[in-house]
Amino acid sequence: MTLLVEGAELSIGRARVLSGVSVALRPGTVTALVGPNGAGKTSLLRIMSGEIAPASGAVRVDSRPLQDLSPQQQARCRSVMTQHPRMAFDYIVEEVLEMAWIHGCRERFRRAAMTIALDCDIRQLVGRKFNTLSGGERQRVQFARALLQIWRHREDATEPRYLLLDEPTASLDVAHELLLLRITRKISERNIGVLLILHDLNLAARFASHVILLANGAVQAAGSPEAVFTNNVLSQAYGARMHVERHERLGRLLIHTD
Amino acid sequence: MFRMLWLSAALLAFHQPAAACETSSDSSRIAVAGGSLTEIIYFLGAEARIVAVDSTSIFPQAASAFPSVGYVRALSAEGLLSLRPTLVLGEDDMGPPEVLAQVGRAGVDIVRVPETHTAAGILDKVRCIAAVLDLADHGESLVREKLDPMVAALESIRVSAAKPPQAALILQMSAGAPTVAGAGTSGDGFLRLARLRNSFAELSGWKPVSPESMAIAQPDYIVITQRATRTGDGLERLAPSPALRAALQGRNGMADGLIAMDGMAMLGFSPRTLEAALDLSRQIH
Amino acid sequence: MNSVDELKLPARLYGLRMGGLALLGALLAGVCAMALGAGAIRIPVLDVLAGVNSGLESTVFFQIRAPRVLLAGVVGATLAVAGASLQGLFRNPLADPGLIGVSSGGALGAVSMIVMAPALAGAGAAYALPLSAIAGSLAVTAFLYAFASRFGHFSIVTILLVGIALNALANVGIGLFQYLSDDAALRTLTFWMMGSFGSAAWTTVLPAVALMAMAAVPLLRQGRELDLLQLGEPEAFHLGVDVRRTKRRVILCSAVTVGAGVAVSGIIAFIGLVVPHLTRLAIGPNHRYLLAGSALLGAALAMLADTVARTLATPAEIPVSLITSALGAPFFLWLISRVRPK
Repeated sequence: MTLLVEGAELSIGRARVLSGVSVALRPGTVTALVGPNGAGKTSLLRIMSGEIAPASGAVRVDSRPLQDLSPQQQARCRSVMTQHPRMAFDYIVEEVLEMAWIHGCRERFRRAAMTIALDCDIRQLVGRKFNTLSGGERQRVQFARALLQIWRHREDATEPRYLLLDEPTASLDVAHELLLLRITRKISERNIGVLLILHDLNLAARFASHVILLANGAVQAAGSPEAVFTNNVLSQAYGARMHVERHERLGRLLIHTD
Repeated sequence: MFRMLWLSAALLAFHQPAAACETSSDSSRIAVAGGSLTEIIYFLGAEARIVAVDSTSIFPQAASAFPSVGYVRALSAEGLLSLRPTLVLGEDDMGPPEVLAQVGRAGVDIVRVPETHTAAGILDKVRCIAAVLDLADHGESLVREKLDPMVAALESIRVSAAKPPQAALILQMSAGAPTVAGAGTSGDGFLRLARLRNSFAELSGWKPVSPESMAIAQPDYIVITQRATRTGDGLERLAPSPALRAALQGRNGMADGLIAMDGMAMLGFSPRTLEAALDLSRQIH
Repeated sequence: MNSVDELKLPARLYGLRMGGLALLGALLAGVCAMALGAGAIRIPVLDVLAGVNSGLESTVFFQIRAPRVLLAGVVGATLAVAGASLQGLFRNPLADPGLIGVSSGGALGAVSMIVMAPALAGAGAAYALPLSAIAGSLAVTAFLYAFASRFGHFSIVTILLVGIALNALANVGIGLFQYLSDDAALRTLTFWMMGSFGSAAWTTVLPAVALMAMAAVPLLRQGRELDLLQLGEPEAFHLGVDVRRTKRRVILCSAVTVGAGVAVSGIIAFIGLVVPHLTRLAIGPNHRYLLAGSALLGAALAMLADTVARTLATPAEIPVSLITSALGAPFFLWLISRVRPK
């Protein structure tokens, strides 16, 4: 039960974006994908989502090759939140949420949407036009949409699923950033594998159970935050002197630069 | 007796469009689609039978008092039928064909009058319409009395065989480029009637030409429709047109080689066209 | 927490949309009745329908007016549905069958038939013209598709740019035919390009209507896919849409339905662009309702325009494109000015 990438190679034009990348995303974990700009994080996420196929290498979901699954089958077991553009037409938020509802039954949609809207603090946005929302509000709506897509009724609640988030907190204020990351940790307990592209290493250290450090199109280190976030590994990957220390009172790693 | 009944029933059921120039079973109410046909009906003195005309029927002026069924190529089936015609008399190019088929199916005679751009063509057209309206004898005497003398006059014009005068006929001026009559057009036929050689006989159809080709063609005369001159303020306004200037280079003044005439009279191929051709030839030869 | 509001909201919205659709349906029924009742000839419609009257009025009603109203309705509906689908596919409210060259392709096909084989276009027009117009529309869209797919990605910008180039190319072709054609063909061509439902007879209308409907039904069923495409192409794929297939279907079906329409009625301006806008203003952008609403409003608008075209200057008639533009444009401006300040 894993979303697995094995030896993925990818070039865009002449530029080599990924070389021999192998990663695993396990249900029940929150995995942070970190690395400097241009490391290939978004490309790796696009490969994992099935949006692009690697030039060589394989992507497997629960030991089946990803390309053997139809778009509908893929949509049922993973959802993706991208860094998002505007929409051409004035849909209201409720309609945007409904777009993610691939489970039929309107009655259930209303109940599930209400729960998730409350969780994500977008209840007051539901009747507004999506295009009139601020960047952060739109990001919260998109997050709620991604959650609705992999929603399961109680009896199927343990099906393995994957949630791939590309910089989900980029436009969020501190409070909503924390809210979103808390939700990811909470839902990972329902047999969901969450992949987060994050720039804030402190947040990654605090909320992720696993970390993948990507630089120059290759995996530099992977494992628990404690294993990946070391002075040497980070300094080398980011090309800047970085220090990692453990804050005993907060009980977590703190990462800072010179 | 039974055979007659059966035949008329069959006729009613299918109602094939009548062959051109055969006497129509009922020509008491005529919708006319084509200016020259209206002129000819007036020429025959049968205008009392007209119930509608098309937008090109502007001569004689009284004709424009009839209800207009629109442009000859864009007729309306229901519009035509609302005038309860018994006969639709139209030029070659009346249409759309589907509309005429519908009108025909509603039991109205449809007659297309054939057209050739010669003097004989005009006489045939008059005879044809006279036959359709059951006025063949009257038509024939009018042809003999009024049209034959004009045709004879046109034929008697002496033209130098070595160097016949040549002319270009301009239908309209658009953006400085005149649209001229090439081979196969009514304009070409009109120039021939007036015993002129068409400078643009090597073109086919109505074609816009450039100032350069006007200069190369070097027509002795330019015949232009009055409508084309009206887009400016009369003939003198055409002088700045590079095309005409080029064609008339080296001549004494503009008005000399430039002749403006009524477009419908020239191009309609009705009896009026013979008069116009005579008029033109008198100015030139 | 007042969660009751939230439960009610979708229901209210749903009600609004269904109400809007019902209203558009009623409008269409009203316009249809008016279109059948109005015309150059006064027809006692009820008598004719009851079979009491069987003279000229009956012939005109059943053989001339009824097929014409049907043709106007179906062409209007399919143009509007094709317009709404293409606007959704291109995520651009300005997309239009005309924009990507579909209409010009159809026009070029028909014009080439008129000019190159005038005899055929005269005698077998019922079959030759639609086929060549559809062939023109399909050639343009097939080339568009092949050209865009060659470069691996199938982006909207590529389609729009190639569409603009194809449009120009088709117009060059039409211009060339116009130059080559003789006088009579030229005049047919001009009037045909101005659009008219006047040639409608059952023999031409029924095959065309069947073809247009066959191509429009798959478009009507793409509502959800088109909605999801509004999130972006990758996002639509993430939600389970087979993006390539959806694009192919929308483009091909639009080409066939527009080509068939162009063939029987010429180019009817404005409906494919404006009806989806008006419908969106009335019932929102959701394609599952928008496509059906556009079909209803497109049919109503085309019937109305045709009725005006054939009654305003009786016994003559006015080119219908003139009316569609004259009716649609000011109404559209008025609607924008009403809705924007909110």
